[in-house]
Amino acid sequence: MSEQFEPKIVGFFCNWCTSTAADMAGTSRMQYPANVRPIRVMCSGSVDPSYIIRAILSGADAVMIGGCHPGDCHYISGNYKARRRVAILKSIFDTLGLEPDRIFLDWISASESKKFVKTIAEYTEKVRNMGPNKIAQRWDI
Amino acid sequence: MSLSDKINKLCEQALEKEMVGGIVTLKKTADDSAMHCLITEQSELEGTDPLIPFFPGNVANFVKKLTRITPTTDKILVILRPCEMRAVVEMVKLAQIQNQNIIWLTFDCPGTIPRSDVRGEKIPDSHEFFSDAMNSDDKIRTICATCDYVRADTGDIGFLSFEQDAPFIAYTEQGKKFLNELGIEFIEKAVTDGLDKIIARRIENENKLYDKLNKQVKGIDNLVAAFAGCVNCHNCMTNCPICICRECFFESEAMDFAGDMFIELARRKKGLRAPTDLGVFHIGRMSHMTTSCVSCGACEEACPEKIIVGQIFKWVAANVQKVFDYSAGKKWEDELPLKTFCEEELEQVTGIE
Repeated sequence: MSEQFEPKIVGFFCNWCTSTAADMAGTSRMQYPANVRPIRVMCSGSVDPSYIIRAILSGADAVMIGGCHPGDCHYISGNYKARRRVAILKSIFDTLGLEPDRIFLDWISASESKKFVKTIAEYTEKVRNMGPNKIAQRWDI
Repeated sequence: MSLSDKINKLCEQALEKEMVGGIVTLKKTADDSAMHCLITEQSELEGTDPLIPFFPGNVANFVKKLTRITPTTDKILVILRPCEMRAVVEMVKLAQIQNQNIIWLTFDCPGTIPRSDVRGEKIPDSHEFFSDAMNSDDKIRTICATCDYVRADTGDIGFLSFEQDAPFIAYTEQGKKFLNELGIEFIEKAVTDGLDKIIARRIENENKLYDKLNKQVKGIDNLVAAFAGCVNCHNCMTNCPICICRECFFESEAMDFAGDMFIELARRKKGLRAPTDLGVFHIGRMSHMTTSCVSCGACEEACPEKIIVGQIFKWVAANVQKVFDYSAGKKWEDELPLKTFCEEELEQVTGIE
């Protein structure tokens, strides 16, 4: 039997919510798949689409962005802007015939450590089923 | 009187009456092609023809330079194509052009011939070109043949070149005042009789183009093949009126890594293409500017490798702008999609499925 595919997921998590939720999950000794590589950013709105593209092209199987729930952004509207940017990027991927599902945005507040664990588990499973990201293994792009 | 003479006469009078300090128009160059030129004297009108069916680059880039530090003291008349006017509208929204002292004159555009057909060849006579354009899109750039924005009504003055007697039209109060002072006859309500046939044909062409790209560019193998020749010259970006960053992310040190990182990337990717960052640059640029892409095709004209980058960006931009129900550069009042948001929208983007 072949080994199970373990996807690499790059996570851009907002300092004020999802990163704190990850922290709380850790201090509460909750288990979640180790497939995600968290990067703390100050706001989901600070994630430029080119960071996502670079991750997808340089070896990540998926990129996850975690931000504050609508209305809760520490900087008032960063998460709404993140949502627009992700919508643009998903549209581009869709048009070009790449896989928009490898980009994932969700709202996880600082107190939602359970949701954090559940989301990571579900998304890891989904990416595992999608299989390796083929574009990351091409030398010519 | 030819169509060009009619506009040139307006220019002559405007300069004579000192109503403008300068005019930006197309002027024939030594190699029999054309470039944009800022003229300030009547005598410099020799050799100018705003209707030359050639696109040497988007004039909006020059107007940006002209007004970046301060707007001019005198009024400037800028004669431009509809796609260039779309770029102007976007650039004003992006705070790149100060337009308070500019009079925009847009003409109904027949399209332009590709640069590759111009060098060393004589550009077709602009007057004849208009009558040919009524019936066929064979000679023009693909990006023009698939463009249904033949007329821009966002300027001050329009020149309805396809209509009977080719009248001037005033779109704004400033345009009306300008034409009145010149004593030039104009109409105030647009007619579109001459355009319907062209627009219908162009829409058909556009759909055909998208079908073709869906077959030939969509999918990772096709996409890589389409951009395979890219030499990373960034000409497409330099010539793009919408790429406005003074320091481009894709030319910054963020693109540099320690040597070992390149080795690591090459291991992961089973080799590393040089020049690097092909996909990061093109897809990244799409993510930055397709909300405002006006499909002028300046990028494609500037590409030394003949990549159909303008057509691909037009296709991607059409879908991106659809998401926000936005059409770049067509209306002054619509807000830039990246500058605004709604609290309740795009629910399909968040969460798993």
